[in-house]
Amino acid sequence: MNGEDRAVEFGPIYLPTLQRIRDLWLDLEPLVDDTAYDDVVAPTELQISFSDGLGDAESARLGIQWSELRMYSFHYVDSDGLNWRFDRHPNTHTPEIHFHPPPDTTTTDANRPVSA
Amino acid sequence: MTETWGDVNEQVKADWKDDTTPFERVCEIVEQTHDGQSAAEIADRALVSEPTARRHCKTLVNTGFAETGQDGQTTLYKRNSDRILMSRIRELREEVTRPELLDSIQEMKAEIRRYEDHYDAVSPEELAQQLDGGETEGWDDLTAWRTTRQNLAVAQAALAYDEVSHQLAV
Repeated sequence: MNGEDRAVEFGPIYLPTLQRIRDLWLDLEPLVDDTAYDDVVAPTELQISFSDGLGDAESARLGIQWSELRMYSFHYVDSDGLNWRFDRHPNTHTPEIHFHPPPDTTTTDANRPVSA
Repeated sequence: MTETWGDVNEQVKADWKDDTTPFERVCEIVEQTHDGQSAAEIADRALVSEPTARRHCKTLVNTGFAETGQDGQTTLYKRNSDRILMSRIRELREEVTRPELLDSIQEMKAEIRRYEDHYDAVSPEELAQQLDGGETEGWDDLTAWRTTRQNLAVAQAALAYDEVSHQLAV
């Protein structure tokens, strides 16, 4: 789990939506190298690998979680170490839908709302 | 800034509506509906009228893609959970060997025992009652516990299914 600021229930991982997200990426994004669950039998997230990254990064990976309660987390990490997330989950300090910019992705401050 | 992002959301909805038929949108929404929702709620998410949503939901129930529940007078629709389970069992039987499945089952059981010991709780439901708003690690563990409990049940079902098909093949 990478939701270090979660403060109410996120909900169990919902695989049908992760499958749809995987299909959409394979359909729409030519840079996708590979897609897989973190664990075949005990999946907790979908991982999508890219043959390019932001800026000079040569590769990147998105770790994606989606729950039965339609909460989500998209966590980007690339070969240059750039690291950010955008999330939807209930928490005590920011709007439900928000962005964790680099380099503080794993901390609770510096969150930015993304909702309308 | 906020308004710009709001426009992005509206633009994505408009593009989705342009690129899909009402039936396709209802399918996509029902596919992602785990808790039962009324035709009105489905209509709102699928950008269709309520009668259209109801008509397409009924079709999806008839084909076995969706199933219904009841909330008083209101019919609720959701993705057919048996189908999700069967496709998951099929996936595991294709991609994982029996020893791998058994190993994984042992690991998941051990993980659940760690949660039970750590929180002195017999279930994630009991843990949920103990947690307050700010206990981030606890809420993360709750999600992980529930997810692992489901993954364990599915893995055990796949194992049982495997044994049944061996028996029938003898």
